[in-house]
Amino acid sequence: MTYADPMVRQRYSGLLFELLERYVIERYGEVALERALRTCGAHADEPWLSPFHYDAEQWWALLDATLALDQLSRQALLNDFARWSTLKLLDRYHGVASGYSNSLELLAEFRGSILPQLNRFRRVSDIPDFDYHRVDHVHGHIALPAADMGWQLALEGIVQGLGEHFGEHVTLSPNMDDENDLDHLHFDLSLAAKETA
Amino acid sequence: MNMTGLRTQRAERRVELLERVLEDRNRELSIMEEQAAAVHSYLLDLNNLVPCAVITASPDGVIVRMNRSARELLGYSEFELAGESATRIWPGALEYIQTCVTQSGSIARSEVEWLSKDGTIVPVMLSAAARYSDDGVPLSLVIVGLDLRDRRRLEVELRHAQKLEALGQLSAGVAHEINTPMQFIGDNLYFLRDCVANLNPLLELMPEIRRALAESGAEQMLGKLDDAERQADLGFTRERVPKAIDRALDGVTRVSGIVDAMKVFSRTQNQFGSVDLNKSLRDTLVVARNEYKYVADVELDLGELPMVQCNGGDLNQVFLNLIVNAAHAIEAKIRGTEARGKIVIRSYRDHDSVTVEIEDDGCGIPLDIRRRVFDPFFTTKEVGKGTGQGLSISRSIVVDRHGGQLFFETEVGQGTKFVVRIPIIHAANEAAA
Repeated sequence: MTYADPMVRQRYSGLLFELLERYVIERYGEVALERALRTCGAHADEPWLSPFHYDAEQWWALLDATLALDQLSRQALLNDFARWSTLKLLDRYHGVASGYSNSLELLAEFRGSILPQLNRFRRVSDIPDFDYHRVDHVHGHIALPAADMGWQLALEGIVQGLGEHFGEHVTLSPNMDDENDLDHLHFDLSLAAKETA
Repeated sequence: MNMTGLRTQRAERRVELLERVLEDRNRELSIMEEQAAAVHSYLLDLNNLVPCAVITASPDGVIVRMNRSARELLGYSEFELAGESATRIWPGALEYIQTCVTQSGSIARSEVEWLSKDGTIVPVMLSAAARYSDDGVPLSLVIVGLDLRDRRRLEVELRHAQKLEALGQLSAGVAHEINTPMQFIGDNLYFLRDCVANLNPLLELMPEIRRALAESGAEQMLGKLDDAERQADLGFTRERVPKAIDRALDGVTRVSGIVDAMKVFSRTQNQFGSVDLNKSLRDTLVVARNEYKYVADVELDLGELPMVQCNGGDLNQVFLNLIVNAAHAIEAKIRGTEARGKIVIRSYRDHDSVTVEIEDDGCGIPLDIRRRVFDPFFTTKEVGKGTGQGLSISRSIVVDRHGGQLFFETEVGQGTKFVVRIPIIHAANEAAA
């Protein structure tokens, strides 16, 4: 099973490859990575580089090879990887999240300002053009393109990672109110009170 | 493979590859910087070399920079107007800029009048284009101003030249119309002269008639005759009438000469043919007489010339230009004095060519404009007096159409000699022969 658009040969940022590679090493060790690389047909001395883009199918092949290392379901693995990656990225680019008090604020800023800049400079061109708006201080609404299944599967993990970064609990629930919108999948976000230290 | 070293191995390899990428990028960047510098230098040169005024302004009408042509046109130094409002140059600048900014992507053309630093009004044709950000926000405006002063002057001169051309055509018609009455005036004058001459034998009998009347005692008749003779002032009339008729005939002859010269001069001659250049010079002098007669005397030194293969009408034009210029040069020198100048016209054969020299003792040509006197539309005369085309056209006629030479020798305050050298047989005819 692949998650790339069948009409377009998708390419993912090398950053996503690097994150998955680091995730495999951190979770399963170097031996597991060597095995996964071999399984997906990648060479040990040809690492993926974050400034470049690579065939999305290779990323999913690496993910499938990683699945074979554990008894996790694909959804569970994607969730965990997305949560882990979100935390790593927020740690690496700590300036992005500074100044925001919770996940919903950061999401709004990311959609409003950061994503257009990223797309403008083609740094992470594989982030889908999703819609987001804050309903109130503790509620938000997100709509993902229906065709982009990979990001739908990763969304829950991303939201969990965001919540973990801010020390809060964010729940994601599908919203089926708009049955006429076949182009998007809608989700509601709910922010629980900050966990006390 | 050492499995425990895979992470390190890939990390080192990643660093190695990224270093290579970085080197490539740096190399590309360096090349791009060089190219950008070259393009910048080229654009800067172009900006300063282009013969139009180029002004860069902000969308709210503040001047950012001006190229060299703009500075020279308006008389400002390099940074004198930077940061100033474009309304310093023309009051309608802000409206114009606003129009340009709102007409996204198009070039707004308009004729306006700029004001130079010294207050001179400069008519210019404006073109401008605005530059926008990706979001459509206007960033700057480039305004190109084409100096229209030369064009305006040429328009005036062209109208003047058209008037002269029309006047020339009118002159040919007038000359033709004058010719017929002048002929019968002349014929009648000759008839009158003959009649007066025929009356002489009769008048010479008057003393004998008087004597006969006295001897026959016809005192009354004699008295009537004396009264009639006194009333007619017969002695005076007999002496003066033939002279008056001769002077009238002389005037008619001169008028006929002028008319003939005008007819010859104004006749359109587009064909090459055998031309007597001495006759051309004489005809031209007749036509140009009014230009020189008040300021100069003409001395002719015309040698024996063969017939020359040339366009007579064109060469008449050349000689007229040179004679009129000579008269103007003398007038400029003697203005305000009682002095008169001299124009010497020489012609002689010089091997396979005929040379015509038109020399004046006028003001001469200043050193700084000698190189420009043959330039089209170059003139030092006031508007309406010279089109600035005379010498340019003359050179074209002599050099380009006849394969000849036209040059001058001059000394400021002493005078100028223009030399026209025309091949006796035109090259085209020679080749055909």
